[in-house]
Amino acid sequence: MTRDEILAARTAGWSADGRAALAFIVERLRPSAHHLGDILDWLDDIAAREGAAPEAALGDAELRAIAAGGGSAPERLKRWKERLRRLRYPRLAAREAAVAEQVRALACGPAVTVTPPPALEGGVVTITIRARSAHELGDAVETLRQRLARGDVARLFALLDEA
Amino acid sequence: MDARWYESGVFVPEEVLIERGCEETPIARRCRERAPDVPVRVIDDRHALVSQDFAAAKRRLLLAPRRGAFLEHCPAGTRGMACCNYLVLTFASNCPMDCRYCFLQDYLADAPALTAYVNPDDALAEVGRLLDAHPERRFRIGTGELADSLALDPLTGLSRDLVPFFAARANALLELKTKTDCVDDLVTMDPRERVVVSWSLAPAAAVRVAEAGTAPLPARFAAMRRAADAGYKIGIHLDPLIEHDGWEEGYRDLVQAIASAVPAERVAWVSMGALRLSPALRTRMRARFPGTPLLAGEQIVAADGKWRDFQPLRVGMYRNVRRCVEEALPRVPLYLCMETPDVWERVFGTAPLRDQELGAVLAAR
Repeated sequence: MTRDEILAARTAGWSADGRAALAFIVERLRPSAHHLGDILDWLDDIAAREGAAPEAALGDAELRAIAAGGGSAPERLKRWKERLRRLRYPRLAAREAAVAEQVRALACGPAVTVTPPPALEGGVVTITIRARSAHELGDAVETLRQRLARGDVARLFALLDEA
Repeated sequence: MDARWYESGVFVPEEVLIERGCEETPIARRCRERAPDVPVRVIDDRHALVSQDFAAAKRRLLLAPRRGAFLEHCPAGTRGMACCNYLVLTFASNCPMDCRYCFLQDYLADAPALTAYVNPDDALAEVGRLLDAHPERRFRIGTGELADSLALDPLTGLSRDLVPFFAARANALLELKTKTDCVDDLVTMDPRERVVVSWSLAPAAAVRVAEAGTAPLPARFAAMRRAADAGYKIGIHLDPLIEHDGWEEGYRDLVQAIASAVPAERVAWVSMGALRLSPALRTRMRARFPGTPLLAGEQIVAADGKWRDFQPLRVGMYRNVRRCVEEALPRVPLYLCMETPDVWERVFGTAPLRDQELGAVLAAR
């Protein structure tokens, strides 16, 4: 389906104001049909959860500011969808933010990259060490050993365990 | 449809279609006898039937032979999921109930009718060959994959064929999985510990939003009691677990109600499973039930491509319900359906048994 066909099919029951608000978003952010499908799904899901109209979430001040603000359309779309995702998945987004914060708190330095699982699914953290010498590798391992000893790594895994 | 189902306690189709040549099969005869007021039409070719909308197809009962294999491996044990080595036996395809999350909405989207197969003897011969070929193994076989195991029983009387067959077999356990209270035929027979009647259950608040046309919980509990009294083992499937306002209390109360309905020693097993929706099913649900809260949970794509509540959330639900089950139904085996070994280990503290071992543990109940 094209973007216009999706809009016609999915917003037929919306209010005129709601359709106008979405038309503004589409004009400003130029989402592909795929992105538009995501956006409409998330608006429907938020509406089902909140018992509100699908277009209600478009009134969110941060969404409006991003859409009206500067930057390229793709960049605005990215930030706008991130905000909408936080509205759609409040608990997941909060947990992801806590995980990201815990990864930052590890402060393992540039040689160690800690990557949590996408959408926290699977529970496996990927740790990558980049080293040009045995000495650099030893430093990285020692850093990780210290983070383990002070409980930082356990705190990270606890965030992946249960919500 | 729902009102008719509840009033009579029996599914009454709007029309029965019988494929020519099957008019005098025992299944067709029983259907005509047990629903004498339903119009019957003999058709030459089921493939010429026009597909209607999914809900309408559920109200039209087709009686025809199954031409392919009846026995298959349960599809749950795929793509990295822990498996309980279960076999599914197909006697019908589609269901008169209309659970909002049911995969049949997508899997049978274009099916023109609810089909009951009229050649159960062929199915049982196939089962018999398997059991005879492997007398050392214990099989768990269930009929509730493409249809509710008992929803059509008041019409077809199929359980009268199945129960005596399995009652006479030492190396198989039959599981009849249902959301109905249709046990009138069952309780007239002695299963000799070889048949488990299982109920899929959710708290009443979840049933209201998600399980249209199913028997009310008190009716299911009453049927559970009757089945247990008649010598059947009871299985419980808390599947899908549905997160809703007050779900913790809902599942706690539900599990306590189960324990009040049947003694723990008659419960063969309890399973838990997350709500899991394929992308295509989500699209169907969105079209059929706009605004359903089932799509508004915090579901993401899991390892097998199905959408589930994000992992820490469902681990929390599993642990919570596990505590309730272990308190109310001590020593009853509890397992997860369609979950990864990682989640299994987080919930139970140990890795899942290998397929054959888990299957054997459950089959020995």
